Amino acid sequence: MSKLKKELMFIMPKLRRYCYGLTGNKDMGDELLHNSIVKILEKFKFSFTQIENLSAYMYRLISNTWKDELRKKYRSKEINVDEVTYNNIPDTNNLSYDSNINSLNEIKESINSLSVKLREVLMLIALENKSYKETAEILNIPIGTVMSRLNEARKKLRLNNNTNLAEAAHE
Amino acid sequence: MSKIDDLKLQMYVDGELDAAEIKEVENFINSNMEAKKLVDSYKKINHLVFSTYNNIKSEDLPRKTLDLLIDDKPSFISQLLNYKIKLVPAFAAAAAVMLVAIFTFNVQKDFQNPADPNILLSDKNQNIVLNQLENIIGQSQDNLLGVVSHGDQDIQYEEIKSYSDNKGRECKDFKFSKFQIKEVTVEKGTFCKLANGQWKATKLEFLKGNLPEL
Repeated sequence: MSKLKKELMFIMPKLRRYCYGLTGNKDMGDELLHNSIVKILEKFKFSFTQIENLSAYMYRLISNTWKDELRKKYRSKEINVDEVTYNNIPDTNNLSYDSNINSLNEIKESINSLSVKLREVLMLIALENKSYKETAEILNIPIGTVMSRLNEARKKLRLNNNTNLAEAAHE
Repeated sequence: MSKIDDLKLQMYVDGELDAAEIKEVENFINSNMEAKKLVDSYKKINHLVFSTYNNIKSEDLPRKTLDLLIDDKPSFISQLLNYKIKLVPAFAAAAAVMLVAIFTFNVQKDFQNPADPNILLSDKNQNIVLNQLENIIGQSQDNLLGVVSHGDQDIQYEEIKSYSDNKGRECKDFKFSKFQIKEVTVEKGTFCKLANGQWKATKLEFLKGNLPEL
């Protein structure tokens, strides 16, 4: 097994979690993870170049792959995938939620109301415990943009489902 | 919240502040209920996001993705090394086929040319035999009959005629048996005595083919 594959194997559980958080669905998350790993293996098939920060590289690759997949779903290059909210993604209306806990499903619905650009920042910070600086580097955006997107995401979650969030927090 | 704004509270929740700033924010939220509620709500959001999506970590990793990382295709060199053992019988089989082919070719060649290879003479050996005969004729009388040996072969010769040719030379015709040059059998030969007193083969008759230039 190559060194790259060993490292990928090591970080795969975290990457999978991020894919799940990003897509909001386990099956889609696993598909996104698979496609992203296929991409990196293909890219570095004949290369001995060491990837300096594989984890960050993979987070970025996963985000970009997800946006590519969203573009395909919309079948248009004109769409700004950063602004897409998950409730409106084509072919995903029939996706079932994985948990039987209603309150968690409601939270997921609230998170699904966030656009891609807000969601990826929230997931990297709240789920992957990345710093603002790391998040900025992964998404290739300024730290100020990270902070403003995070602020916007949190405000929307509080406005969308203030009661449910509070209830779920106590479960 | 003029000094400590909403963003700073979120930085506090996300662990982005240094020790002095943390102390400053904590003093502030202890004295400001609205700020405390905001901080609590941000913490709850973080906690809920984490607890909602972190549960996948306890599940088995997807098999097909694992296969991508585990089923490492061997490098060209390792492939070669792995196939080395398999190549041995392949080479052995190829060698056996070649041996059979060579054997078959030779058998076929012998079949097409049934003459005993041991009595086939090269041009050089032909001259050696003729020289022997020339010497024998020069040293002997008429009605010669005998055998010239060369290597493993015995070439029988018999004088059938003695005469003078149109140049006035003394000549003798000989009949041969088992005298083969390459792929033809020499049936008859004519030897004539030259002006210097030496006998030379002047004509060879073959069962088939062209006469050699002597």
